[in-house]
Amino acid sequence: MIQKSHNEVHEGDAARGGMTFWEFLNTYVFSRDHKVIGLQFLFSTLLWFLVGGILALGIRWQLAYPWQPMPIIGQWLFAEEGGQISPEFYTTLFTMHATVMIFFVIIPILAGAFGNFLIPLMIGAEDMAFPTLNMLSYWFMWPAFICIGLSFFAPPYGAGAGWTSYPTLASNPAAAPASGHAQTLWLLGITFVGVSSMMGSVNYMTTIIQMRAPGMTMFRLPLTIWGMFITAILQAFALPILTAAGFMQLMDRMLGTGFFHPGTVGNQQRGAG
Amino acid sequence: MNRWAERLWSLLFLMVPVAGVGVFIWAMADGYGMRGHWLPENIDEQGKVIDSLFLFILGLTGVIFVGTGVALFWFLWRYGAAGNRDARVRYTHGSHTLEVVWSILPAATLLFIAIYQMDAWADAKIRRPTIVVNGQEQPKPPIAEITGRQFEWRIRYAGRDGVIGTRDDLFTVNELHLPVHEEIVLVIKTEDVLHSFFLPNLRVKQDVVPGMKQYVWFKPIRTGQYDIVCAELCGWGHYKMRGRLVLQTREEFDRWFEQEWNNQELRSYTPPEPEE
Repeated sequence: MIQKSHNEVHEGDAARGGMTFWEFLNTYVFSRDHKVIGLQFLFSTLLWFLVGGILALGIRWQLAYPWQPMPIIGQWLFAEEGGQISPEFYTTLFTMHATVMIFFVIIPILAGAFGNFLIPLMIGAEDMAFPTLNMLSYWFMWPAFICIGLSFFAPPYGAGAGWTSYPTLASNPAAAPASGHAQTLWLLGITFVGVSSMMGSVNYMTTIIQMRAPGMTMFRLPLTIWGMFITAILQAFALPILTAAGFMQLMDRMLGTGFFHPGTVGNQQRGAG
Repeated sequence: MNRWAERLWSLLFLMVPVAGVGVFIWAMADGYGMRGHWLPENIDEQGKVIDSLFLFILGLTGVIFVGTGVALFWFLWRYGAAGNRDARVRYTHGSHTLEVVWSILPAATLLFIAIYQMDAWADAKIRRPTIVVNGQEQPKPPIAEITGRQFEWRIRYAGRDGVIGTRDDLFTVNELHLPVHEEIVLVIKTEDVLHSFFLPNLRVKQDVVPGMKQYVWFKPIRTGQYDIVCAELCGWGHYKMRGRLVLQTREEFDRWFEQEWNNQELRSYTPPEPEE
């Protein structure tokens, strides 16, 4: 008797409509399969691409027609300014546009979507080295999606300290425009993105180093994989620092610590400079 | 794609370097529609060094830009599929010589730029002007202290005693008057967030970091009115954080200073006598 493979059994069940709810969740939602996770990253980022594009339209409208009412949605969104995008809101627009495009489109679509989909296929591996970690790296993006989405609805309706989030503009709750909850939500969101990307980078590096097919030496790797490998190394070096910095900004805003504020207890040395 | 379409696309790609270089030349020549799009007028003694560095790097990157653009055009023109249907493809597994050359050349170029600009950097950021006091050379004291805050530049001149922070200081907001043909030293700081003190015509740009004092220096050579700009996103009102730089002769500057100082003393608040 021929033993059916695990996948064949599942495909058979699904074809007969026999997949239970939990199996469906495991297979398509909280999947550990690199291809499914790649597709999840792809479609999530495409959705954010749309958001980033709409924000870019706002930026371009303000540049092209400053002090003129925005057609159709202007009166609805900016009723107090007569339908115009104020220069102040322009700051918010380009901050959120850049944030969305960099942290929610470019990084996750290149590393998350293409990395996940292509790395095992192009090096001859069965899957990623740590499938559960891989699944978690995608689902850690969701708190980030929610935080950034909510920041559009919290005063002053989107963060406005630039995508670089320089302190003390971003870390001081008294410094306009970071005076509302939007900047706090932004920082929370970016912290989640950082954690997600770190999990991804560990997986990519381990998979590329450890799981290449026999004969696939490092110098026979496709250039795409070399690109992803170097990206993963850079992410592993940079993200812990950036994420920690974002977290320290959060502490400054929420708990009154003084990591970035000269003269406060947490930063005596810098303040003395 | 037929041969003519290939040729058309090749020429369109050739237009990229041609138009790129053309736009730069047009802007440099202050041509119609491009007025004010090139570098702002230089009014600093050392500004020409910064400008020549800029032009050198622009030329260098321009040559690479044109070279890659022309190479792309040539490959499209010469090796398009329509004109080479019977040609045999030659496969290559790489050339170590080429790889070494294209790795070493950019590295050497960057190293050369790093060394070439060191003197300009030192003049702009390290070698602060000095004066001799009691036979000893010491850093020239600043003529004024500039404090950035959302969204203005607060200026505090040293008074007659030449020391900033004493009772005879003069205060202005967003208006910086300075004498020409003298080495000017300014101390800049911020009261709140990151700003960047930018004098485009003097080729001076310095980040102002919370908790730190920075010094900038320059030697203006022309009188007139110029911009002071904040060049670092500092909040929702960043776009309007600008001031006016007024460069005057020493006599005009002294007259202005005296007049402003007298006005300030007149404006000073005097508490009323307590009621009996």
